[in-house]
Amino acid sequence: MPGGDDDLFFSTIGELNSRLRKREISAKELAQLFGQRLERLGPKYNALALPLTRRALQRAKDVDGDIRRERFRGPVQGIPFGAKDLLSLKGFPTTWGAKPYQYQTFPETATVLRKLEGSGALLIGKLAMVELAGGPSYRFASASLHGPGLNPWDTTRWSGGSSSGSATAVAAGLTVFALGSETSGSILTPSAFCGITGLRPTYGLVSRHGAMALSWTLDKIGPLARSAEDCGFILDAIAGGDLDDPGSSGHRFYYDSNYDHPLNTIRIGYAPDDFDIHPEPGARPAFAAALQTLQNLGFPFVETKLPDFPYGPMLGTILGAEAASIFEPLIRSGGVDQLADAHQIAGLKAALDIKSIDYLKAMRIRRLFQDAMRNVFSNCDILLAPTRLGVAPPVNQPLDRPPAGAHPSQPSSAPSGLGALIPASNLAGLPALSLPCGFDNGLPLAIQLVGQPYSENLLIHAGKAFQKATDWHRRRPPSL
Amino acid sequence: MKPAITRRELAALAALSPLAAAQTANAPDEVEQTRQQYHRSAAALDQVELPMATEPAVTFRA
Repeated sequence: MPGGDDDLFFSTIGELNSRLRKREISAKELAQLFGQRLERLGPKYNALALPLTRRALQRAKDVDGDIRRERFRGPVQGIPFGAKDLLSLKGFPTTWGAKPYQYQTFPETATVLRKLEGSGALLIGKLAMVELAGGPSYRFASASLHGPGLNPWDTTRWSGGSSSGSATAVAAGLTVFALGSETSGSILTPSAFCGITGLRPTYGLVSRHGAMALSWTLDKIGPLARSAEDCGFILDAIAGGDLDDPGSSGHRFYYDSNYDHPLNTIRIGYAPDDFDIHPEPGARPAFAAALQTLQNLGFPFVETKLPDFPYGPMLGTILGAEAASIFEPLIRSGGVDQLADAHQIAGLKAALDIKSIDYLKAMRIRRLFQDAMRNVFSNCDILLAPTRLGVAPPVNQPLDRPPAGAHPSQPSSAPSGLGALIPASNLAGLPALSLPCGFDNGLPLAIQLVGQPYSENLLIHAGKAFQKATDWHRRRPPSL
Repeated sequence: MKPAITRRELAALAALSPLAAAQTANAPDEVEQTRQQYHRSAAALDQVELPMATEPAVTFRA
């Protein structure tokens, strides 16, 4: 149990919930402490889009009243959190991280924010993001209305994107958890670079109503938090069907904290090259140790690989075509030229010329790929790979530069093993959990677990076992 | 008193920043390069043998 104030800022949902119920601290005090910290430190990392402390304090009074009357609404009750600034909040600006939209407001609050606030969680701020959640592509970390996301572990390094502020806020103890979104890598990448735990839910499990659309068939909303268990608490609060989201599957998720599947029956599929050869040299010891930890826990390992599909062309064509259709008015009006990143501007303009026949071909191949992925899971229950092959890059380095030490025989466009797991698992709509697993030169590294659709309880169960055996998720940046 | 940095020096420094570098890139060339990238993607997709009965991975609900 945390004691001093500094520990408080790095407490888990479970720890804070316990203190709230025992009345050791009030929701109002938590909102005040975290809100002040977010307003003071958030700008230092370019993480804060909009402070909402005053609004949270008003709501905290009701939450404290509920707790006094023992009306407990679940683990997130009274917990301060932040939300990526692509989620609408009635009456407040929602910028999508992009200059052309810096003054826009919406008449409705996003479903996920309504659900969390309905559970008593306290929204203390909107968090910075890469403009338009990255669009089809971007070249520089500076591709944001709020400036480049700076990493709390080293502010000369990037926080990752596109959920930059969400990851930074959790890593720096500015919020207890945050919501982010992922089209292809935007929850997992910043979670890995900032040393926190991120969960990308199954496509369709969490409503996107009130969220900026980048790609209807790829967008997901999910939590960035301090532990696998915290991700379970948050997902429990935000998941479920929503008629306002045409992509909603109608599935519900109940976090099962007593999920008790014996670890020696959960088969982990992996490719040795993903740990021995492909990572940056300085990252290999941490990845090898993570592999060893999972093996010591008793998980049976089977070698596997992804089926042979053109993942990059498939993802690029689908994402490009859907983004161009969504942002066509911005592109044709010339407003697109106000974006910060020339590569993103060019990507959106060029994507208008993607042929419908090519888009449909990509979507038909995607169907074949989904079938092939089902075969992969006939031999294993979870896929394991490094989340990223190395640490966060320098903040001013072009993001399309290959990482130092990358294996020369493995070009990024055609990786072997599970090297294309992020685009592949996003194309298949699969859930993923990113877990901190060590450091290279003081910067965090992470592994990812990917499961079959709606297997979030299994992933969290495996993640909890890993986090029980390690303390990487409890580490905090040295200056904090 | 001489300013610590002249306006010209400031402009030169600004031009070195990643954002400025991104904004001063030759946009028409970059658009054309990206267009070519999409063409190459389409060509890669053409290599996949696609059974005629394969429906796209989109769900339409009546």
